[in-house]
Amino acid sequence: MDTGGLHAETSDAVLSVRQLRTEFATRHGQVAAVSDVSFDVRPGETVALVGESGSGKTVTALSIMHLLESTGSIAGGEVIFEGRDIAHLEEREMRSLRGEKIAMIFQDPSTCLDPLFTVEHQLAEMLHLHRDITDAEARTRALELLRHVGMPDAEARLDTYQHKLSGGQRQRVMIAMALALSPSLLIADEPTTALDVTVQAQILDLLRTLADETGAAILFVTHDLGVVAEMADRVVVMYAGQVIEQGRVREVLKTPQHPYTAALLNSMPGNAAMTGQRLEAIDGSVPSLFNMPHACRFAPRCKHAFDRCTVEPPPVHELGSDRNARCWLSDPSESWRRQPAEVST
Amino acid sequence: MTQLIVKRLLSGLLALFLIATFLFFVMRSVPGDAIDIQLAESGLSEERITEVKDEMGLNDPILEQYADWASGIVRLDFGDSLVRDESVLDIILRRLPVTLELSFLAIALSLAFGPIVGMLSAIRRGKPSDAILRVGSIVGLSIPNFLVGVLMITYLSEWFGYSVPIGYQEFWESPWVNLQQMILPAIALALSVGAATARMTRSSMLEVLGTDYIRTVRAKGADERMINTRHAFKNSLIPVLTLVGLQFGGLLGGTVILEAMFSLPGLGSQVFEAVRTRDYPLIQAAALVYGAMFILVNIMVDLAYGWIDPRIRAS
Ligand SMILES: Nc1ncnc2c1ncn2[C@@H]1O[C@H](COP(=O)(O)OP(=O)(O)OP(=O)(O)O)[C@@H](O)[C@H]1O
Ligand SMILES: [Mg+2]
Repeated sequence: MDTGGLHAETSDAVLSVRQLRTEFATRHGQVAAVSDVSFDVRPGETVALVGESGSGKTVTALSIMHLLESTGSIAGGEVIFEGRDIAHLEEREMRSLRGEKIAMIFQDPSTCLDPLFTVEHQLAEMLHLHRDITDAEARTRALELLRHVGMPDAEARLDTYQHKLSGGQRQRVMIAMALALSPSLLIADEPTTALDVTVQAQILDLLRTLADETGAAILFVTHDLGVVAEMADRVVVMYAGQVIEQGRVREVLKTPQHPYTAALLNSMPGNAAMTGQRLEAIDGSVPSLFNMPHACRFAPRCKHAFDRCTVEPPPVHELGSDRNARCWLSDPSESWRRQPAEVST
Repeated sequence: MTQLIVKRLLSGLLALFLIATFLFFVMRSVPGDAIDIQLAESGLSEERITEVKDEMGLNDPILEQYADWASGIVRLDFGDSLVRDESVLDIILRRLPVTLELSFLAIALSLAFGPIVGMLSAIRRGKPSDAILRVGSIVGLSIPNFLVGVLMITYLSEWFGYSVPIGYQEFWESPWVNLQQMILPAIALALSVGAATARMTRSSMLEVLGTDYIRTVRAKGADERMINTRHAFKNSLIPVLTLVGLQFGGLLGGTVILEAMFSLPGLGSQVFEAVRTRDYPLIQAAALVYGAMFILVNIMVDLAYGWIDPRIRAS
């Protein structure tokens, strides 16, 4: 079977997503928001999922959790979690995985906690759902968890409601909840995007420390390559519902193999300043799901596109261990065509 | 929270004052006067009539009459009925309990069914049972309650030979008879409030089900029952409460007709009669009582808000 070009062994991965395709029913028919996504997350590892807005990062994350809206569904591919394909797992079984084995935190902590229940209630609920414990035990454990995520004045916070907490504190509660049962995978969908810059750094720090401690692997969704460099071991770059490049963070950021990755790097303020290059926004916009270019999806915006790019979809080229790119220019057997990547960090 | 309640009480009192003033002047400017009619029929001489009206203060300047009346209200003295030989306060105290029982029963019924129906409808969104419940609530909303009353009276006796026991019995005298007398008008009144709350609960629940915090509960591994009943339902009740407070006004209006229709000796049927006989003092006082009930219920709604929603409790 073609595994979407990824040659890593699936057996040692916590999560192996294989050629995932997720479709939504819309008024104008079925659309595939995610059409070919394959990547692995190994135990304890942090994998970043990056891409412009609308590239399908959130849909990928929600597909893994079976938390898509009712109009969305997995239309193809596999989601292998701890050795078994959960892409079409029954809801009842999925429920016992959620929270217990795979936990998730979201972008905007200000809307993610129930406004009518105390912090304690919401933390305890997670424990009660998967463990047979008394209320007193749950409270003790909830307090421990809050202290562990560095919540100031944790004991008093147990009995407060989310509207009394700051954004950073809310995200700490979400993290405490997510890591309460030591899941083997934490999916974090842009967990710091909605926070102040200083708080962002604290939350990232916290996530990294806790993940190291608990040994949880993290699938870290972000559109900030700066955060990728700081947080992740490997990076998966998405564009228009496909993975277009992936590899170890250092390699991908240093020598991007896909023009899109290079363009993303060039559009980063910090990066351009560092390398003394002009800050370049990527011209054009992400194609509509209803009007996908049928060959290379990035071709219309690509400075290096040539005739083949608009005719034939590029395959995923394997470029050494854990590294691949979906671009004609990255074909190792045609390296004579290869143009130098535009970024040199 | 306390501050909020005090504020509501004060604005409620102001509203009552405005209602009272408005009513006083409007009622006085309506042509045709119970006293004139009564006195004309009594066969007294013109002079005697003027004397009697003087005694009653009806020939004083209108502002003076207003001041008298207003200061009376503060002492709960609403004057005497022009028609019955009784003080207005006595009539109200005698009649009000029936109206209170009826409206309480009607509100209790609509709250017992409306929100649950709305929740079920939201959970089964798009399924046949949702469609049936939605059509049902539109019907409930659009049939006037007096029509429901008429239909009940007619068809229950026609099909089941059932008729409501005659001769009003108070609840503590014979609860069973009392309930039989109360339940039908209460259902007729509850129908539209219940339907309105059902619709509101449904749409608010659908909105809540799409929120991030519900997704969080789902991401924890909670099952649908827990998501729906514990988190979504509670959150969806917030806008429903306001609606119930507002709908209570319409419900009070409905008691007037339904009490008359079902021969319940409540304040409503009394008002129904007082309007016909132009018994101003009674009408004015009754309107104030209805206003006060409406305001009290809405203060209770505010309290309920605080009970459900910590954000309001804190403010
Ligand atoms: N419920 C839905 N129905 C139809 N299309 C959807 C739905 N949810 C997402 N999409 C589409 O799927 C595509 C990917 O969306 P997604 O939210 O995954 O992007 P993202 O990479 O997470 O972007 P962002 O950085 O803005 O969060 C978008 O084109 C979006 O319009
Ligand atoms: Mg997203």
